[in-house]
Amino acid sequence: MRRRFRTHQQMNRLARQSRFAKKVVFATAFAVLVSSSFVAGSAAAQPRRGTRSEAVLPVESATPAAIPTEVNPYAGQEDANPYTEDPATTEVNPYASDAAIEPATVAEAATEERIKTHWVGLGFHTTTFATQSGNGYSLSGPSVVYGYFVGRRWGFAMRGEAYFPMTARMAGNGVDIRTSVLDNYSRAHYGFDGSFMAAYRHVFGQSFVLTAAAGLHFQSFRLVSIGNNPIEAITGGFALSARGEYRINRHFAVGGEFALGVDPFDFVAHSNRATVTVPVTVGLGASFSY
Amino acid sequence: MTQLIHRWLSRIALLAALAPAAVAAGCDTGGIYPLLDATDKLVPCGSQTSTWVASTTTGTHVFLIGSLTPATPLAVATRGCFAHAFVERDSSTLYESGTYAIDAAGQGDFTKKTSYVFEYQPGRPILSRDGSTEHEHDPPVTDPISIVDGAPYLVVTQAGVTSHLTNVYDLIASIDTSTQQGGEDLFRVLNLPLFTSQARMIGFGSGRMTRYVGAGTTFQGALDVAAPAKNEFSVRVQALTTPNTFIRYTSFEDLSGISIDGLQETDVNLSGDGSMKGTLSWTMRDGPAAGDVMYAGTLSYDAIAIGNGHASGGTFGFTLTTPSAKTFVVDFSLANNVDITHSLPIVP
Repeated sequence: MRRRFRTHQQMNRLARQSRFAKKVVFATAFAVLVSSSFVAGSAAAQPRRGTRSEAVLPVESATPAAIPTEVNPYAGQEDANPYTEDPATTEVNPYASDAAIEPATVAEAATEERIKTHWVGLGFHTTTFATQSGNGYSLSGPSVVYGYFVGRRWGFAMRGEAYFPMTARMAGNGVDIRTSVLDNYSRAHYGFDGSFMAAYRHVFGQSFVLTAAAGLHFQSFRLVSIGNNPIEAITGGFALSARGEYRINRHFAVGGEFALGVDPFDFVAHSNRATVTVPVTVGLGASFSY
Repeated sequence: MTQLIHRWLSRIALLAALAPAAVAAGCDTGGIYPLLDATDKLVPCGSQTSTWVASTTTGTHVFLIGSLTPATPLAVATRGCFAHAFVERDSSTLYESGTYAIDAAGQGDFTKKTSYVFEYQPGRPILSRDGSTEHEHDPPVTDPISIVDGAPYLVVTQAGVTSHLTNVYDLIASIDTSTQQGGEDLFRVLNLPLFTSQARMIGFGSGRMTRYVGAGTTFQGALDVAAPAKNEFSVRVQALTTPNTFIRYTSFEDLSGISIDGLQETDVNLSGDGSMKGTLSWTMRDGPAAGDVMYAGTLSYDAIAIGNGHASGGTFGFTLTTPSAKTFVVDFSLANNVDITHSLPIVP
């Protein structure tokens, strides 16, 4: 008969195994995403068949009439398919659609060219987290952000952020403390935030680009003081980000971004673990694409 | 050119994203601490404090009681300072601090506000050890105590455990330094305040010492002194990758009558292997007056090897300068053999 109650040691062992399993799953997903970055960014990756690079097309020739196409040797569908009377055949005239190429299709083809984008920005970062003891914390301050995208419509995105908390707050268990990090944790106050994500990039018209991404997230922060115990954690979970850019020209753009993480994993074996950590960043920046 | 820029920016992004992993090694597992949580919570005992010790079969009890005549009643309204430490033979240490009060019959309570635990864990890799840990009791934990004069001992019973205590001045006076055994006993007694202070140094003996990287932290000695005099020790770790540790004692006095000055340096790699350096100068008094110095000398760590974070070879240079010059060669193993029953027999 299955035992209904477990000993304290068994519960500890189960908790350790559960944490280990979570770490393995997270590490595996991380490895898959990193591997995908090499695939997406590989020099061997070629533009999709049938698409043309925006860079090699003269701007004035990017119209349907000017696009060079093969001459259609068939007068019509019947000529192309000698078996029209056979209902089983599905062969169609492969040239039938050439005359119907629309400008939008050309623009779409251009957006699906493999591009690389480097984004640099400034942001305001707030990390909010709760601990097992029932306290809720928030650390806020400025940040510098670097983002990278490689791919076509779909691609791989990576985001790194360094942030510098200026204020901190802890509430819960009957206390509500707000303090200046600069005054009370002067020895070290910084954090790092990183994401590896699958990204979707869409071009609206000729000037506006929206990139949305989701993937794995991890971050750390460290507040160190001479007289107070340090506040530090390394957490991991899931990331979401969205970035809107206005193209100044073919290579440069400016815009804003929003990034959100939801981290259920505390990678340090704290005696008072972070149960959930939610970092949020809003920022402005510029990008370079090629 | 763009390829070069791309390559470097990609590397920077990867480094930024992986930075948390690098920081992981330096995290303190004792957290996550509350905001503005003081590292050193000890409230030093005042000048009217006496220190008492007793041997047991497994270690040594040390009591700091905020009265020169501890069996004298102390009203609840004027609670006195009280601290209890138990140093096991292998140097594992428990340190509890708080306040006490007793009635005319010597019955009362010890209200513990903070406890510190250092477990000697040589079987574990240094990065897996617990190190010294702090346990704040909120609300405070109360132990029943009784303190009665049982001449020649002070008889203290805390939570049902009775100790027949000897004043530390009398212990110092009883040590005969004319023999090697006496010299080793004096060395072990000198180590008692080092162990009680290290138990309060959060993370001591583990990878959590990286919390002291940089400017370091200063801790108070257990006995209060009037400014501008100091009674403190500070700890600093050089860097995450070179965790050389510097502990400086400044007029440090954790047990009445035993004062220590100087720098103790431990130079180790990330596995805890290396060596020690530095010399501490010390004095031991057999009475409360400044002129009651019975022994003075130095303790050199220059010939000590460190393996896996512990003394693993070599000898301590233990030298007496007062009352007469004499040098004892003390084997490294005595640092983890805190047996002072030769000088302080077990009282059944």
